[in-house]
Amino acid sequence: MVTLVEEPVDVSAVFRGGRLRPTAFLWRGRKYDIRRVLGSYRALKGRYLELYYSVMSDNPEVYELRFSTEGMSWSLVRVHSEG
Amino acid sequence: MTQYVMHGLLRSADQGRTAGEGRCVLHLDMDAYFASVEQRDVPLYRNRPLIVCHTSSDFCSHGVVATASYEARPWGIKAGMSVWEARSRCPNACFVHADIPKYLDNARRILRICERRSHRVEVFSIDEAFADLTTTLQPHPPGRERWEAALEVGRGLKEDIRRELGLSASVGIGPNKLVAKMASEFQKPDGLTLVRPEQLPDILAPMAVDKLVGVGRRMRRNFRAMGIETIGDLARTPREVMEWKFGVIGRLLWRAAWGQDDSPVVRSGESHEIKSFGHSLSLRGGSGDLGYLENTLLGLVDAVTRRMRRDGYLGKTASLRLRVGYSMGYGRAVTLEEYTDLSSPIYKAARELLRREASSGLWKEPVTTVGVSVSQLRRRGEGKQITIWDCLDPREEKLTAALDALRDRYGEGVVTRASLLGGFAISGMNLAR
Repeated sequence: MVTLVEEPVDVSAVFRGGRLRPTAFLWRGRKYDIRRVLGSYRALKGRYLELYYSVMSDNPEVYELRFSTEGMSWSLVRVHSEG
Repeated sequence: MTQYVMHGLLRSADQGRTAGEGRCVLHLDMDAYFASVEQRDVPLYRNRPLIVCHTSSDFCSHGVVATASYEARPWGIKAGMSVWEARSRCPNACFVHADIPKYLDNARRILRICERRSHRVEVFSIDEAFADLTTTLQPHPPGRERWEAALEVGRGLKEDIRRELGLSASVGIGPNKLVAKMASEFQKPDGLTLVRPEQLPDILAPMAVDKLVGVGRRMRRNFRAMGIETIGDLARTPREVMEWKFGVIGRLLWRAAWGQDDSPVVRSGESHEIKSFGHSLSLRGGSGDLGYLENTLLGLVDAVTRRMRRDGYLGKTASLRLRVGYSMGYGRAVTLEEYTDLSSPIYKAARELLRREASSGLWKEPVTTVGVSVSQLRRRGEGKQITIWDCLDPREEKLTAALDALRDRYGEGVVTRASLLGGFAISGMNLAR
């Protein structure tokens, strides 16, 4: 099941080897440590670059995070879960 | 690699008439592309029926199927089917939204992998590409050794895509684009098929004629009336008969039946001049509501003209394409007085055509597809003839330029017409790529 979220989130990330990689995010008061980055892609929204990451924490859900260079902000876009 | 039995249905003496001496073309076709990308990114969807939908609904409750994973195919679910039907056939499937930017980004990476192995790669669609291997394979002596080398290239390409992107692809290799494309269909998923020129008559002859690229339902009906069921039947029909009956298309199909195709692999950026811009939309369940159809048309025209302006084209002929029910499709066209890239003159012309059709009494069923295209193009640099009306009222041009600037800066969805808000699914975000 896919749940559209589109909420701002706080994200810890590292820049390594010319790449940006999220390591943890805070959503609705709970911290999620990112165990796996399953995939990522980039897209242009107008002149702004957006980076998308599909990540997993300790549960089976997959979270899609977006980093937008417009405002340098992170959002949780949607959650894929069982059901 | 697929092995073929020699049928001998076409005489070996005819083999010289088949194309392909010298060229080697590879066709890459990603397996259930959108669904494979989603299954790669979301482990929950692996080994389960997954249906990727084009839909404006948050819950994928309507719209059309964009791709079904291989696990969903035993239920007969195919691209183009309504989501409603797919749900009724396979209620336990997972339904997700198509994420076009994600698939485009992966497609760009696939293209880069292909370009490592060939200097000439043509993007055929978001999940298909042709690569001309002729130059790459030049160091290998012609004949079996060169074809074996081509197979190695195909194998390596598939391995690179799997290792770097976690996706599987089917590859067809042949003496031209037509044969390579057909070959990639022979073994799916994860196939690697080589068809050498000398195998062509035996492979093509027994195949159903609608396996040929360009033979759809209507052409198949015509062929059936002529007693043509297989590609071999078509190849044995005198070319003059085909030309007399179907014109240029008849000649091309006859040549295709012999495995002949001279079309070059055209590298991105070298493509031929654009002939038209168009968009169409399938309507869930169809609609006979003229207001709704006009609104749909407006959204399509906006998307078409946005692309024309971005690519620097003006057009003079507006064409309307309609599908009524699930069988009758037809088109109408009108030529405008001036070349334009603005929505309102094209929309007015297409709306007039639509109204005329609505009042013709031809529609016995709801309209299921609406499409619009603009042709008879001219480069913007070649000049737009200024009319007295432009001087009197340049407001639309100024407004359009301002809206384009907003979309260039903030993205396609940043501004839209009020009439296109709400239930209407078209946004420039989806269409104006």
